[in-house]
Amino acid sequence: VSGNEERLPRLLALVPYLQGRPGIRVADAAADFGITEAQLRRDLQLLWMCGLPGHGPGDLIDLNFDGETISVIFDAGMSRPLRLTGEEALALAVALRTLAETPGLADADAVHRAHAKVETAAGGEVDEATVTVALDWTTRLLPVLQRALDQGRALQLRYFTAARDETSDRTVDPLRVFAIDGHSYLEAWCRSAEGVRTFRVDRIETVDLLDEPAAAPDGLQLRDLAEGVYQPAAEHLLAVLRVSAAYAWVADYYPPVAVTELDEGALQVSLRVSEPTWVRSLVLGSGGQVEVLSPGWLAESIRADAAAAIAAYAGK
Amino acid sequence: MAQVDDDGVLSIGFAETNWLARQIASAGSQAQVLEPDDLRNAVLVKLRAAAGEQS
Repeated sequence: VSGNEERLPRLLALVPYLQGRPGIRVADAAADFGITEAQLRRDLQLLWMCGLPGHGPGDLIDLNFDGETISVIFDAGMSRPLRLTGEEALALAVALRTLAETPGLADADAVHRAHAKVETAAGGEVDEATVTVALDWTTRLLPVLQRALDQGRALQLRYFTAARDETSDRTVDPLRVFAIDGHSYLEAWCRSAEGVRTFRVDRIETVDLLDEPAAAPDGLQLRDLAEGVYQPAAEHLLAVLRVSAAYAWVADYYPPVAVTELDEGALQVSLRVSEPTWVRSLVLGSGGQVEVLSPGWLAESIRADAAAAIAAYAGK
Repeated sequence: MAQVDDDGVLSIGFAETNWLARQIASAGSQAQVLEPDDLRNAVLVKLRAAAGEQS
């Protein structure tokens, strides 16, 4: 089936296409246009009846397609290649720029060559100043992560771990991509940690799609995400904090083990902490609004770090 | 926007002193404000509170 909306542009494109490929096989031309050989022959028969006013011999398009190949004998002036309108060129340029912005998705050289051709064909209507495509980092990465999943390939990541305030390079075997509370995540087997880890996509600094196959261990059980991305574990440190009313959000933001109301809107919040570094940062930056009640070693370590920082100021 | 020099000095433009003071204080002894004075003082207030000193 080939509708008129598709057929007219195809008919207009056929003559210059065939002129550039004398003797092309019917099957090859049909494949190039994405239609059946029977449909192509119907198109050619229709073209055969088109041409210049007068409609006599020497006015109509003349084609030879009796056998397995096609030749143009007379083009009736239809030798000019199909031109793009400004709107069509713009749509193509945006699509190509988007492809070029997406790392690892396409042959970058081929995309740039195609873009240059579109720019030339558009006669300067879609130059650099006209079309600028800038995708946010997560939007750029998600197709790469999905491609790794689809093709069963491993990834090399450079990842920023906020809880430890450090960046690390890891080779991972992707398991799934999901979104919760406005953030996208990659769940993968981390070869260096030898465990399943969850990576927030906007904290992935670089990603390389490796040629080697993903090789996560068999039988991995994916987590139930109904309780959220971060799920406290019994082996994590139990910290007890006193937070002022201004920092009461801590009890909502981090899943608490227990919350007790104190005076003036303050709360005592008990929570499991996989990395104490974020508690240290929270307390130091809070200006006394957050205090560690337990464990004592963590409270003392934070006080000592604050004292060291103050001493450094005294020396300057 | 920030600019980092080879000697570890970071120059950063900011609009909200208290917000930046919170970020810098949260780094503890790993970061120190060289100037301006009002930002230095804002960070010191937070650090003294975290150290348990009376302000």
